[in-house]
Amino acid sequence: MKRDHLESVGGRGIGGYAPAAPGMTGTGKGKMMGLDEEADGGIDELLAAFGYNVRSSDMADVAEKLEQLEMAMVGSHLASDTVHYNPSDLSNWLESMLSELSAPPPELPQAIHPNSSRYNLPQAPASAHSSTAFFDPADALTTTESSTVTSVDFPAQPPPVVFPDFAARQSGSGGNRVVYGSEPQIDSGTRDRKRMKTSSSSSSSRGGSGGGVIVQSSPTIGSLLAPASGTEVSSALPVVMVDTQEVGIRLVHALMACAEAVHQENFKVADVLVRQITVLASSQGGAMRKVAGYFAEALARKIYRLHPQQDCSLDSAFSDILQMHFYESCPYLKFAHFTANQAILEAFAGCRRVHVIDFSMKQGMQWPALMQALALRPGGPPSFRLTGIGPPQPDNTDALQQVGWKLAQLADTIHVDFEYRGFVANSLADLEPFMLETLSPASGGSAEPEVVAINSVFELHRLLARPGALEKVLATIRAVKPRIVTVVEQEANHNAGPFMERFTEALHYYSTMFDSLEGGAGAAGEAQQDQLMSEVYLGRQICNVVACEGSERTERHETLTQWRTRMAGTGFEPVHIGSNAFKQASMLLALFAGGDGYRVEEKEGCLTLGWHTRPLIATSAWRVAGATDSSSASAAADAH
Amino acid sequence: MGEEEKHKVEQEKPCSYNINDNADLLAEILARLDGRSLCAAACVCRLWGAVSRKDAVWEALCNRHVSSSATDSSFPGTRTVVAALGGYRRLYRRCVGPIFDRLAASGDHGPQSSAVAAAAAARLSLSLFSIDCYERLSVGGRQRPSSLLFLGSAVDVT
Repeated sequence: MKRDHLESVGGRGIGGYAPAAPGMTGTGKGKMMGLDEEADGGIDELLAAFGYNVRSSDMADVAEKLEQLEMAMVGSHLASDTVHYNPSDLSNWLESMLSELSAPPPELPQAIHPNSSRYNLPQAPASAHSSTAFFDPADALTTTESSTVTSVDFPAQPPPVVFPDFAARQSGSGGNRVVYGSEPQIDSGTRDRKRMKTSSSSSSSRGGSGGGVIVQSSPTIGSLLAPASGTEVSSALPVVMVDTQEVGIRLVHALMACAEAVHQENFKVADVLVRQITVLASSQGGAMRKVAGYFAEALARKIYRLHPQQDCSLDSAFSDILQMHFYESCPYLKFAHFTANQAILEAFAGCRRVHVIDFSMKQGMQWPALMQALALRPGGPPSFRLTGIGPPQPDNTDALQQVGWKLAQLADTIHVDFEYRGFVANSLADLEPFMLETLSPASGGSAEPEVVAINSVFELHRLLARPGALEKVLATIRAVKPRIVTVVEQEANHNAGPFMERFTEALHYYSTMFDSLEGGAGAAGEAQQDQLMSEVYLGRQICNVVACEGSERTERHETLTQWRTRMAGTGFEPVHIGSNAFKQASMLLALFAGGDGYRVEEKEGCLTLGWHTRPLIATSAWRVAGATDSSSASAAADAH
Repeated sequence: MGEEEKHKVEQEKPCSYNINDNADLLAEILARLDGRSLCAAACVCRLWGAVSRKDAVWEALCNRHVSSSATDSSFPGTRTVVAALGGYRRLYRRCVGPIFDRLAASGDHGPQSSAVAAAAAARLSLSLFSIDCYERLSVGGRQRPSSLLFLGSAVDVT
């Protein structure tokens, strides 16, 4: 009956499933899969997309042979110099493989077809089976076969990817692959459960599979699968031999699949996968393990709908502490501060009264350096006014005021005329222009007018969580008429519409970030603690990007290009950050031990700091478009 | 007679002048040493230790790291600022020394750019120093200012 079923479906092609097929009797699983494509003349369209030529009529045979092969590989030993005939001709290849196996293939109870299972939504048990079978790390059968198929595919042609966005990310490399196929239409039943049981029990002993295919690839998460030239299948012995590269690849596969499952609200599957991920991750080391851990946690939060994501009462103080550690252990924040300060310093050249409005006051670590530079500039320091804006503190301590006191003390020692004002605001959108303007009204005529600079480090992206907030803030900024606006933001697009796009982008971004933290690892105890806290800091961001939605998701990073468009569209024009900032930034990076990977780049007047080839944060400077020098503007105004 | 007298005079001459009698001269000489030698000199005796701890000596050392064509570090106004922030000795120990060591270790760029690089390094040192000073001001905050930990200065010379 099974064969009939398959043949009838195969015969009419994949596409013709939607109406109740008259040829199928009583199976109830008439709809085979969620395929929409029309069947091509004879050739199975879906597999053809992967480079396999399989005739629809042969599908049943191919299916059965694949199963036989799979079963045979369990106990057999394929020679490493097995010759594989044209793999795209799947039927013949299977025959050749089977003919080389000595053991006769055992009779299979069901037509389970893991590798040609389409990873699909509807029937939960069936799809649970298919995904488990695919991603089961310990089950050597699946591993060998899936790995075999994966590696065989490559020499043929670059495989199409499930998620086109992800493929775009993987441009150039072999590409990640989540295997498609036809869903098993047979009632899974006991065999599934048996498989799942064996998998879970043998997971501890088998670890990352005895052998599997040796696919040459680099161990970092970002680049997956450079295609292997040949295929090697060693015996699936129950040896705990963890091939970390392969496990790493499977880890990423698992992450992607879990994200997809969560996105499609297939929570049973996702749950299983999350556990897989934690098992796989534990066998990895270093950055990959940590990133996988944080992403798994974020996915788990999403699955179990843990709200609120973080304990809000501890939030701001705790995140300040974390950010301090992040400041110390890696150069990103220092880079941000130094480049922004340089831009502000250059904008303030020649002014006697300056006012800086800081949207991201936190501990005020940016300002000592600016004050020192102002104190030492030729002509002496100006009178410096600082307005700091911060979130409300849970225990009603006035953190902003304390920071202000410290800065005032420092300013006193270096003889800079200093004034400070702190603003507590839940959101930057609550600010009004009149709050930020000069307090002393009348002296504006006699004394020199104040020159304003606005500074925002990793703050503007939070406003994207609420519609209209950013526009209001930009309007407020424009109303204050600043000489310069410095914006530092993460260089990543974590605000795209589709969840999968966001997930993959975040996976790449944070993998690179964690890699860079790893690279700068000092052995000292305090440095290790700093690194750990920095990772927690990033982990919270990961949680927010992956697990939150709507107004809770405040980590809505956007790329420099997007910010540029946005700023230009709301009446700002770019200011080029000079070469002094570039030199200072480069020198700063040269000081970080293990920091050979850091790169400062200049992109159309903006500076980006990245790890190897991937830019991670970007500093840009802006001014109100059409604004001329304040003195000439006021002169022009006087003339009228 | 002439030889003996000469010999006596010669023997007396070195004894009539001791470098330790003239602290300013000693300071001038020590000011030409590099950081490590200066620290070693500080261990010789109490006088040398006291002279080595004079900020002017370290100021000369810091200024020497910056070539004569540079502007920032050799500005007169800098002295007050640096003194206020904690002094040249601390500046050298915390910032200038590690920075220049690290930069030297990472390779030379060339004679021309080294002057520019040195000036930039000096500015960077001052910025980092001011951050360090700021951290020390914190009352009840972090126990130990650690923004400069990345410079890896493990040995405490003071």
